[in-house]
Amino acid sequence: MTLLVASAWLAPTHPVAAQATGVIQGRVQLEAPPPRRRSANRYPGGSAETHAIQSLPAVAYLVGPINAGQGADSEARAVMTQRDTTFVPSVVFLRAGGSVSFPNDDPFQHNVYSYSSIGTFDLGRQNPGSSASKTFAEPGILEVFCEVHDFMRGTIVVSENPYGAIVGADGSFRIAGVPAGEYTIAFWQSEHEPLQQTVTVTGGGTATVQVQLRR
Amino acid sequence: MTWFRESFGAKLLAALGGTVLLLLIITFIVVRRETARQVDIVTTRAISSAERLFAELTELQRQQAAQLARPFTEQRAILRLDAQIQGDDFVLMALEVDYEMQRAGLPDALLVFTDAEGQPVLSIIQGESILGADPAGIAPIAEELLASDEIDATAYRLVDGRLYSVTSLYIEDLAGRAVGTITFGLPIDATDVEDIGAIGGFEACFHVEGRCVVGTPGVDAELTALMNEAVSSGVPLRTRAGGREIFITPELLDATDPFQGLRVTAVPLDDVLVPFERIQQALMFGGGGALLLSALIGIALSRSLTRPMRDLVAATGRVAEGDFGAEVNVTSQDEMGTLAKAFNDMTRGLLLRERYRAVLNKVVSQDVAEELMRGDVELGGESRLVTVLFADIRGFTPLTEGMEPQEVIGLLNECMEHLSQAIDAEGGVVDKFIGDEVMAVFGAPVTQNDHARRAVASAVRMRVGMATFNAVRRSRGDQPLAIGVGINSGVAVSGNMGSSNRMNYTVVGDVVNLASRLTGVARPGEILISGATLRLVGPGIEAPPLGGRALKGFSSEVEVYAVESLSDDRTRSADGSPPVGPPRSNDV
Repeated sequence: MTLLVASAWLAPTHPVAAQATGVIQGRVQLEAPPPRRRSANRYPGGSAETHAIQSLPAVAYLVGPINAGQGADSEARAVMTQRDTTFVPSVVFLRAGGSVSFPNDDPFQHNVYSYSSIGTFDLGRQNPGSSASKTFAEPGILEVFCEVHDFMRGTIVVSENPYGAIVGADGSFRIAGVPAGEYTIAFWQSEHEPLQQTVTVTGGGTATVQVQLRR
Repeated sequence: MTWFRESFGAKLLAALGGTVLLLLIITFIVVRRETARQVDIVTTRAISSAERLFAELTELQRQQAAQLARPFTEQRAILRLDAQIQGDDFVLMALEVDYEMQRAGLPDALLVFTDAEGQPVLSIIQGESILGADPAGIAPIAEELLASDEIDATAYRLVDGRLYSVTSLYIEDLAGRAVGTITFGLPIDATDVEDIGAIGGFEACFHVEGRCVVGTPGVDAELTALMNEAVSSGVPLRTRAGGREIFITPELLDATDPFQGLRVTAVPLDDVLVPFERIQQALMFGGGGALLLSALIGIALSRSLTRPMRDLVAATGRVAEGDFGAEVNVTSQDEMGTLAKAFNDMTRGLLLRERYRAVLNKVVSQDVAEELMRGDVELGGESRLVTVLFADIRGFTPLTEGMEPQEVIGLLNECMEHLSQAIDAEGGVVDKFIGDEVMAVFGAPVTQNDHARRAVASAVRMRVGMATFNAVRRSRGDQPLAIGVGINSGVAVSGNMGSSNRMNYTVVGDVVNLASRLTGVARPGEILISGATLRLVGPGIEAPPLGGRALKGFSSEVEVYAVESLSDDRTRSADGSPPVGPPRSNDV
C-alpha cells in the first residue's frame, strides 16, 4: 500500500525528454535493532506496549535544490490521513513551502504533533472527519506522532527537489529521471542515524549506491 | 547435719519443701523460656511487619512517583525533553516542568533531570529550579541506573532537612537511545510514619546523618537517645523507656549504602510481657503459699509421725529397764497405729511372761524357772535318771489339833519355807506339797549329773534348817517339829502331766513310790536313802545300812541306809557352822 502510493507519487516526476537523465539505484541495509530491554513507558496509561508501533520504511532522497523543470509544484500538496490508527501513507514527500493536510478518517479523535526542529506543530484534538493542514518551508525531516495513540508513526520528507524514493522491504530503492550531475543523497530512518553521501548521475547511466544505516 | 540425719521431721520437711520448690523452679524456668520465646516471636513479627509496611510505603511512593512522573516520561514529553536537551533550552524546560508540577499538585516534590551521562541538568526543590548543580545528590543514583539494566532505582535523600523517598526513572528516546533520567522525590512526612507506626503498633524513626529526621509521635527525647544508642552500636537493644519494656532494632534503609541512613523501630513488649509477669507474680505468691503450706503440712505430719515414735522409743526404754507395763497411747489407724498396737501387744506379752516367770519362780527354783522360760526344757514324757526326795513333818496332825486353821497353815508354810529353801539351795525342784509332806525332784527337768548328791545334801540342809527352826520354836515355847526324809534314785518318767488346760511337771514311777515309802518308815530326824542313791552319791557320805526293810507295795525287802553326814562344802550352813557329819574324805 505504502509502496503503491509512493509509486503513484513518483510517476509524474519523470522529467522532460530534452534533458539527459540517469537512474540512481541501490540498496540500504538497516542495522538490526538491539534487544529492547527497557522502556520508561511501561507505566499504566501508556499505550505503546499494547499496540505494535507503526513501522516506518527508510527513505532515500536528494538534498538541495535541483532544477527539475515542469511539474515542480505538483508536490506542493500532500495528504497524510489518519486511518485505522495509522498514518496513511506513513511517508510523504513534500516540496519545501508546500503543505500537508491531515484528515481524520477514524471515528475517534486524534492529536497530531511534531517536535521536529524544522516544524514543531500541534494540531490539537481533531474530531472524526475533520482535517487540518500545515505548511513546511524548511527542508528536512519531520517525525509525526499522535498524542492519543503514541504507536502511530509518520514521516514527512520536506525537500527542495522531487527526487526521492522509499526503500523497499528488501532494502532496494530506485530514483529515476535524475538530471546528470553530482548530488548529495540522504538516507533516513527514524530509528537509525541519518546518512548522506555524494552520487554522480550520468545521462542514460545508472548510479549504484550501497549504504548501511547504523543505529 | 547431724540434726538433719537424726530428725525424721527435718527429712520430711525437706522432701515436701524440696518437691514443691523443684516444681516451682521447673515452672519458673518453663515460664521464663516461654516468655523469651514469645518476646522473640512478637519482636520478629513486629520487625518484619515494620519492614513490610515501610517496604509498602516505599513501593507506594515509587508507584506514585512513576505515576506523577508520567507527564515527563510519556512519549511526547520525552520528545519535548529530548528536543530541549538537544537544544540546550533548559529555561523553557524548567518553566514547563514547573507548569507540570503545579498541574500535578506537587509543589513540594523533588524533581531532578539528568542527561544521558547522569549529570543533573535541572533540579527543582520545593519550587526552586537549580540548573546544572546537584543539590539533592542524585548523580550517583542516576549514574548507577544508567549503567544498569534497570528502569528505575529508589533511594532516600535528605535535602534541606527533609527526607525524601526518591525514585529515578530511566528515559530513552523512540530509537531506544538513553535520553537521561528523571528523579521524583516524595517527602516522607510525619503523617506517613505515624500511620505506619499506628498500623504496626510500634514507634519508628528515620535516622539519617546521625539524627532522627522524622519519626512517630511517640519518639521523645528519651527514646531518641536510646535509638541513637542502638544505631551507634548497630545491634538490637532491649531496654526500658517511659516505664515500658521495648525492643529497638536499627535497620539500614539500603543494605548496600549505609550512608542513606537507618530505619529504627521500637517495639513495645508490654503486651506480651504483662501476662507472663502476671503468671510469674502468681507463681511467686502461689509458690510461696505452697511452700508455706507444705512446711505446715510437713510439720504437722512429722509431729503426728514422730510423737508416737518418741512415745514408742520412750516406752521401749522403759521396757528395757524392766517396766513391762509400759504402753503407748496411739489412736491413729495408720501404720503407726498398727506398730503401736503391736508394741502394746508385745509389752503385754512380756508382762504376762514376767508374771509367769514370777509365778514359776515361786513354784520351781530360779534356775529351773529360767530354763523353763527359755524353753530349753522339754516338757514331754521322757525317761530319765532322777533322784526323788520326800520330806514329811512327823506328828503334824496331833500337833495341830485344837489350832486355828490359819495357825495350821502358817505353821505349815513356815516349815515348808525352810524345806523349800533347802531344796532350792541344792537346785532341786519342789514337785508338790502334799499336806504336811513335800516332794522334790533332782535331775529333772534340768539335767544334773550329781542329782543324788544334791538330794542328800538338800536333806542334810533340811535337818540343819529344822534344828535352827526348832531352836526358835523352843525359844517361843512351842513344841519342836521333826521331819522324816526319804530319798531314792532311779529312772522315772518325767513330763507334763494333767489335762489339756491344767498341767503339772512331775515324775512318776516306782522310784517315786519307793522314796515315799522310805519317808513313811523314816523316824523323826532320819534321812533314809536307797542303795541306788547311796551308789550315785559316791564318796563323802556317811550312811550306815539299816538292813533290809519290807515296804508296802514292794515284794522284796529293800536295803535302807540312814544318812548321818555328807562331806561337802555346799552343805555348810549359811551361818558358817561345820558340815553335818564327819569331813568328806578325798579317797574313793
